[in-house]
Amino acid sequence: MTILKVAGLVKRFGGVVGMNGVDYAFPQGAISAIIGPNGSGKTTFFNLVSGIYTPDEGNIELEGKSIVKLKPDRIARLGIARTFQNIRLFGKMTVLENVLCGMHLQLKAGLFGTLLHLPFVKREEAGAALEAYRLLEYVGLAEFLNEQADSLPYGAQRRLEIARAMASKPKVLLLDEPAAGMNPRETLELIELIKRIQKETSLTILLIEHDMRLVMGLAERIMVLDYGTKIAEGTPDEIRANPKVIEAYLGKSAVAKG
Amino acid sequence: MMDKLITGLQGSKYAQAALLALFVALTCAWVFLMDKSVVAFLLLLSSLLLLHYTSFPTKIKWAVGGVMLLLVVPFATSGGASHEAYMEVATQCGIFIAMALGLNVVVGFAGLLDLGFVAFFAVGAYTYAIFSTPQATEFMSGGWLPLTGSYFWLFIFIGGFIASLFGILLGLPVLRVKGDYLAIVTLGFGEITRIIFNNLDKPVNITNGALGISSIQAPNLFGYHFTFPHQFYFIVIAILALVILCVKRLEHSRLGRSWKAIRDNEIAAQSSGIPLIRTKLTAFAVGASFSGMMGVVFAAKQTFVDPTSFTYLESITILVMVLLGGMGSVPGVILGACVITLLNLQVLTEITLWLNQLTMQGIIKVPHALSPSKMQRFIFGAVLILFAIFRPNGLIAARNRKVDEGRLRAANAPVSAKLRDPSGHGEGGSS
Ligand SMILES: Nc1ncnc2c1ncn2[C@@H]1O[C@H](COP(=O)(O)OP(=O)(O)OP(=O)(O)O)[C@@H](O)[C@H]1O
Ligand SMILES: [Mg+2]
Repeated sequence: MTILKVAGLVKRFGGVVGMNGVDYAFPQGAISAIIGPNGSGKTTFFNLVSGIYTPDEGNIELEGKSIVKLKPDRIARLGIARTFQNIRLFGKMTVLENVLCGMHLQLKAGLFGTLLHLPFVKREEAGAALEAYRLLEYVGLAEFLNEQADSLPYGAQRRLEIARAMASKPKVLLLDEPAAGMNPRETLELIELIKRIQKETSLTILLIEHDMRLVMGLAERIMVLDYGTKIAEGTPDEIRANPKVIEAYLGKSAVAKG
Repeated sequence: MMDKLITGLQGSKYAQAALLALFVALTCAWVFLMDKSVVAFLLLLSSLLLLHYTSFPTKIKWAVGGVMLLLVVPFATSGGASHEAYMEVATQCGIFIAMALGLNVVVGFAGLLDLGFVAFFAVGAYTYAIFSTPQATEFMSGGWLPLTGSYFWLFIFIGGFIASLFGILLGLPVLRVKGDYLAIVTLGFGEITRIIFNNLDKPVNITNGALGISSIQAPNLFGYHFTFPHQFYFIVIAILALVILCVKRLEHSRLGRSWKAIRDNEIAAQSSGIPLIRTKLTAFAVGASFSGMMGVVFAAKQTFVDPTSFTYLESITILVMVLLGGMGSVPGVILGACVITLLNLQVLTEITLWLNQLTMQGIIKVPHALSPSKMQRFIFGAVLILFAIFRPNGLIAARNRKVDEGRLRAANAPVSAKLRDPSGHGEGGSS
């Protein structure tokens, strides 16, 4: 079953075409990867899906309903959460508060409820802190809960982004290069974490990654982008054997030689 | 030796209490006995700062602080002829603290640089001024006008409400721009507001233009009239308590976190489901309402308002309070507001007086143009530069709230550590 579908997606930046007519349907509950050389439009794709960019043409559907032209917060409300390639934490807040911000949509307290200190607000806050703590435990950051987010080591910041994204209880989770800057041990831990998330929840995960070990180990389906166009799609084995993909990554000569 | 003393003090609450009591007693006696001493008064007020640094539970600190402000300070200053002068200074401090706390919501929490903040103060002041004088009858008819001073209490909230509406109206166009542009646009809107008040005497006379509105009704509580600073002092303390309570509740709430999230990273905040414009507008509205409430008090206290009280220099002054005290830090901003107000009202004027005396005695000759009270802007500038270099987080830097990890872990223990279905759709998946 398809949960997220894009059709004829085009995004231009002045003269540069960031996304040039991409069609794809992401199956529900699976891990799909998006790969491609640098500047091929992977992050642009996530920005379009999460509403940070508005497509110039084409359509994006979540569970059959178009989400084109919606603001990012509306799209988050509909169930798409994401992490960022260039980490975007709430740097001056604590690790726990970052996750609490991720829970924004789960919580109800408004201005007047807060000012009047209504009992439901107190209960909600206590419950939220506990749930945020569990999420931190889940990604292995519980010991850092009171640290300021921008003081964390790099790998931990990436995991915190995942925890924050999961806090909104999304249907679709977009991970943009979650292993970037991680050492091999951290990468292995990350693979375990993503596998565990997928096994224990019905979450659909879209993953951008350059680390092929990670991609091949995790993804059920892969979409390959080059210059903003989809040049291939299939299972990891199909992608590995696809000459177009090898060409995009290594250049024409490599294919000729091979 | 000194270190030992300090660590000893940190360990013992009794020693802290004794020292604080001694300090308060001494400064009180000094303020009480001297006719007028700026130094003594400053020291008396700084005992509140000492209180802030003691290690008593928060509730005790608030209680002691309340007693200090409601009983000790008014009593200590009542000794001499300068009672009203002291109380006037303290009242002004309170007014500026509330405004600085309001601006702190906008600048410190939500990260929106607003250089026209005094506009909301003006809106509050004019709201009360217009309706508590015959001014209202210039453009409205009704036998109920002008309102008497007993409506003052209601107008504290009406003033706050109108100011927050104004904040939202202003925010709608202004919040489309960011960063430096926002600063410039708010600066412009602040000035426009003042100029509108200056010119709104025709075609319909609403604000009485540059002449201002005079004979504003004194607050009246069951026949008791508030006209002296020592009476307004208690009104200001009461509103201030309300403002601090609000800020404290908001600071670590869902809304407060949303403000800070937007400040730290707009895109990530939006992607977490935080609506940008609406959240920013709430910050504007909340900040403006504090300012508006104090505007009403200001109008009643001065019994006169005119546009010259609301220049952009006032906005800058409030901003300096926030920056000096520490953006996003409630105790810091309170301290910053006190320091700047006292500097303006007391220290600079005292130094000027003293220099004038010296000049008259012919000891030194200070040109009139160099008198310290005229160098306010220069001193603000210097303070800002020095702080930006040496103490970018302000006098009392903002601190994040730390949660008790042990409590969370204990609360968590009974439940299994396994995450239960974060997608919120029970069916499928967790096989
Ligand atoms: N906001 C923007 N303005 C102008 N050009 C942009 C913008 N965002 C992306 N681009 C361009 O679009 C193209 C695709 O960029 P994108 O960031 O999507 O690549 P990517 O596949 O994520 O690359 P990488 O692997 O390096 O992260 C690049 O040529 C980039 O310069
Ligand atoms: Mg990218």
